[in-house]
Amino acid sequence: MNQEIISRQELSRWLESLLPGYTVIAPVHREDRDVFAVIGSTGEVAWDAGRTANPAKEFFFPASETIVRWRTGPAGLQVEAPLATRPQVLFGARPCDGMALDVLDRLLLADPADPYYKARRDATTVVGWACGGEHPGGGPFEGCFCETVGGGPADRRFLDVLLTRHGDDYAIDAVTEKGRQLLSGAKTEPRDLPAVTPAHAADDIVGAVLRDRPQPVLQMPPPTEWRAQFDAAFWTELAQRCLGCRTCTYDCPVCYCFDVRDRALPDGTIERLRCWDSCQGMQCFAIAGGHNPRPTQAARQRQRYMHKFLYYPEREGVALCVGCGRCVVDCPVNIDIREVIAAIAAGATAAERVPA
Amino acid sequence: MNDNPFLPALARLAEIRDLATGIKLFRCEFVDKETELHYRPGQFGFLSAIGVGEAPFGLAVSEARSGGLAEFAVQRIGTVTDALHEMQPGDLVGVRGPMGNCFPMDQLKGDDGSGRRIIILGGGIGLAPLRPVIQEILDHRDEYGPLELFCAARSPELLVFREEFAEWSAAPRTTMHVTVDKGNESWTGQVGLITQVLAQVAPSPENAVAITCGPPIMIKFVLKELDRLGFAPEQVIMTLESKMKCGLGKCGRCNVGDQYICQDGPVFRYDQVREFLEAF
Amino acid sequence: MIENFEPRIVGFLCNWCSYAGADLAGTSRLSYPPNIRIVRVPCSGRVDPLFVMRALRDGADGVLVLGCHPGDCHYSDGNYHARRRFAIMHELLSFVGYEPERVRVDWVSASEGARFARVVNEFTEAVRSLGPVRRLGAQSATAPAQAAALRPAAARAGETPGPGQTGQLPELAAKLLAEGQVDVVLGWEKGSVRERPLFASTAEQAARLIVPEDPSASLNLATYLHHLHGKKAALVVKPADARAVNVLIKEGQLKREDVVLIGLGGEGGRGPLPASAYDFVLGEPPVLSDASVTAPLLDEMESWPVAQRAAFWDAQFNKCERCYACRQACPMCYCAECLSEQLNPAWQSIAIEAPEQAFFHVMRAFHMAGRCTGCNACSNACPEGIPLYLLNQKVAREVARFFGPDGLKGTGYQAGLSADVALPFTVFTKDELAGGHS
Repeated sequence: MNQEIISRQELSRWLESLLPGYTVIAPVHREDRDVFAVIGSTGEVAWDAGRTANPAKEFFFPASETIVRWRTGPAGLQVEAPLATRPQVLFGARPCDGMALDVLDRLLLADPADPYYKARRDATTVVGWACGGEHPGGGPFEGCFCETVGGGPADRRFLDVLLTRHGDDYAIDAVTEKGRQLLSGAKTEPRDLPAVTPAHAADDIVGAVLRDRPQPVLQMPPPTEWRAQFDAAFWTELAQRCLGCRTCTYDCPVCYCFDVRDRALPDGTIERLRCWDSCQGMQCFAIAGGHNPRPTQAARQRQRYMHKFLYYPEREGVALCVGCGRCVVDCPVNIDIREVIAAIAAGATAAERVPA
Repeated sequence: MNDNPFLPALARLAEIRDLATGIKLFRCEFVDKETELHYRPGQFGFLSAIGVGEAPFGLAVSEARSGGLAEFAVQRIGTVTDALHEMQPGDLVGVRGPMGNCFPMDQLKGDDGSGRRIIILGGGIGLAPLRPVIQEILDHRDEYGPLELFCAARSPELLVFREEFAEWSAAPRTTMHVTVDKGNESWTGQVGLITQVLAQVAPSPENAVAITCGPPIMIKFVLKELDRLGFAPEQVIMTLESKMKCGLGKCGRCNVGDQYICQDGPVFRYDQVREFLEAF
Repeated sequence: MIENFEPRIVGFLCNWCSYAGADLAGTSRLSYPPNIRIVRVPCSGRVDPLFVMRALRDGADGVLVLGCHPGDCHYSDGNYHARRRFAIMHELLSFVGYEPERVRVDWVSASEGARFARVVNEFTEAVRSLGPVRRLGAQSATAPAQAAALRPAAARAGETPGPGQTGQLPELAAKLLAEGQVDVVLGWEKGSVRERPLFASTAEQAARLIVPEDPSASLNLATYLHHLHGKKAALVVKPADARAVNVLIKEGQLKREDVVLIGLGGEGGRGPLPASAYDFVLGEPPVLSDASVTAPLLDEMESWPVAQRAAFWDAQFNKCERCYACRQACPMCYCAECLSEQLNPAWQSIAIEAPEQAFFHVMRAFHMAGRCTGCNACSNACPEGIPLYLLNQKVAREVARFFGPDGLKGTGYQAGLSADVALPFTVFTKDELAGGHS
């Protein structure tokens, strides 16, 4: 079928042309890993990057941001709620990174919308790369399972532009009007290429990914199954080796729990900070005075999985997970979310209530 | 109050009143006179000690009696409440709200206008979010049925709103039981745990609704006692508290199961949250 | 040098000697620069190195700590302890990129008004010539080309355990459980992406036990000892892990009879501990070797200019998200409330940014002085690949430089060689570390 093709060279030139007006975030190679980072020139882009070690959420929902600033000046008290407005391009996002934004939108943009997230979200155009198996950095990546949560390696739904690599060229799919506008300076040419769908799995790039995946695809148990296992002893056993290190929540594209606290700067300015927090930390749920409704690691681990696969689906209609696999490879004690999903699907036995 | 739900409205502390040992009442007047606070009993707000942080507190007076001020009862227990307790009248604070759901006052009136029997159990500072309910009932006395109040605290110094007990107990069709876990030299009133007094009084569950608020441990045992007395979970209403950072359902941590205390609560019927109550 | 640069100096002065000396300087009309802001403390021993790091983090260009002359402390020993702490802290600060001249510890008595003025004058001029203190995290990144060099396995000569030998582990574990000698055997099993800890309490679980392929890349199971709630455990340990257990015993966290140590044998047990340190050894007797700190990258970094070290650590601190994996993986971090999360007083803000990261890592490394046994769990747990072991090994190296095997004046201290060795910050020798530090 006829698709628009852009060469790597032209893509690079076009991206470079965006740099004065946009903050461009792209995969780069740092030390021994690929990470999303703000680039100063397209020479930094790691075109063969695999899944980035960090998710893209920090560019929409930073690890630390000032949500209110109070300053006493000659004109009295000034209050600011700084909003980021500089246009951004997130380049090289995988379909799961795009899906992550849709997952977060359902909560953070729901009334009353989070204005800080909204400003960054509105200002960003997402240019994604399909996951394909025939080139370095294509995928599937260790631990990933996007189909289990309704995604896919060529899922274009939550991207403004989808690029599918063919050697050193890319098939370019302008999904949204925002994407089309961003691409207006790019030179493309039509070419006849196999369609990028699972139906043509034998020949196409993405099909290679799908062939390499474990079969059958891990099935997500419905919320009722998660609900039925709320009291299972399984959570206590799982949490035995959990260090409570919070890596899983920080590396997750969709974990969004945050903390808010003020700090006073030496010049008297007061900032209200909003920072990433984690359900795995002991203090996350503890209230002043000492009461802690989730005092054990088992209770906190349970909260993580229930939030992802029971509470969020019931409230927002989708799992709080995009199957990216980062938590799978990063957990220092190899608590594997896929194994948790499989255990619930197999009916983890409810032997005793998780101790308080 | 404004477009940005994270931005507090500035207010001055118009009045600070000692309620009990370590508990003060703060009445906040908005700096911007155009700001109005409309809320129903049970809703809460966030009070900011600017420079330290903010925390959620129940709105502790009915809107009709508030004089347009935001009123919060604050127990000194952590960094934010420490900072608030150090403040003086006239100091600047931040207020966000109202948030959460409210007590189902219409349901308390009963379907046929006969008025359900209302049993209110408040422990310690838990009496503060119940106060607007009591006030609203008293201010519309004829619309509600008989009222039985249980006010308790660990000791007499920790009883809040004592100066209003006379008004409450003098109201028509109202019975009041005040008890402390442990008395002192000058205490001549009842001594006993709220659950013990509840067991002695043994109100009938027929056409009744019980409303409770207090420390988690108190709620836990009150729920048990009400169950023993024959109250169905649908007849029991409580306000829950938790660590909160936004009050908007966004910070992810105030949930009891799939219910957010800041959005679906803080007022819950027991049957709504029973399944997922953790470490209570 | 910046024109008109007025350095901001914070001074911690002990009430009895140095503060009185400062007073005397004032009443004697001796002039000293107004750049110094003085914080009065009861004793120099009260000055937690945390105060110094916080002052630097928040923008102090120089920090001065003054106490009574050693031997004259109003509280007898306070300044001896201060002297030890700051000997280590000073080296650590230099290692993370602060010019050594920015922090000075010295002694001024109540009658030495002139000396006080002179010290402050000298210090202020020294700091002035250095220029403003760096903003942590500001120097971004030219990260070292060889990421592999950052891996802990490349770090320590003399103790690089080879592959472990599972040997008789499953049978041994089954026997210990069956005989009721322990409630649980903590070892490893094959996981989905890497080996993972296994809490084996049944025969079926015991059958899955293995030892790590690469012990230097694994975690330290001793970290779970704090969470066993009275259960008796057997631990599969490499030498650094067993040394960690010794330190925990010395610190009163457990008794030797509460834990059964199953040591790796042969190359897997290469290190300073003999077979007698363990209750059981898997395979051949462990290979005895010195575990003193001789890390090539550490040597190299010590020879770098301080600005290069500053840039290196800025790049690393910029990667950190303060997930606390390092702290949670460490058996020595068992404080109920970590200084980093304390709210009252709040030593840190919750902000996830380089200055806060630096503060946390420097203080954690300092808190490891004399305690860290080099198990590398922290570095192995770090999701960002930050070479945290460099900080701990630097501190260990300095501790070994100043203190002997018995914890007193000497050289060669190593943590955890036995459960009886004094912890360096609990003891002192009166005539050690002479000369002050600046």
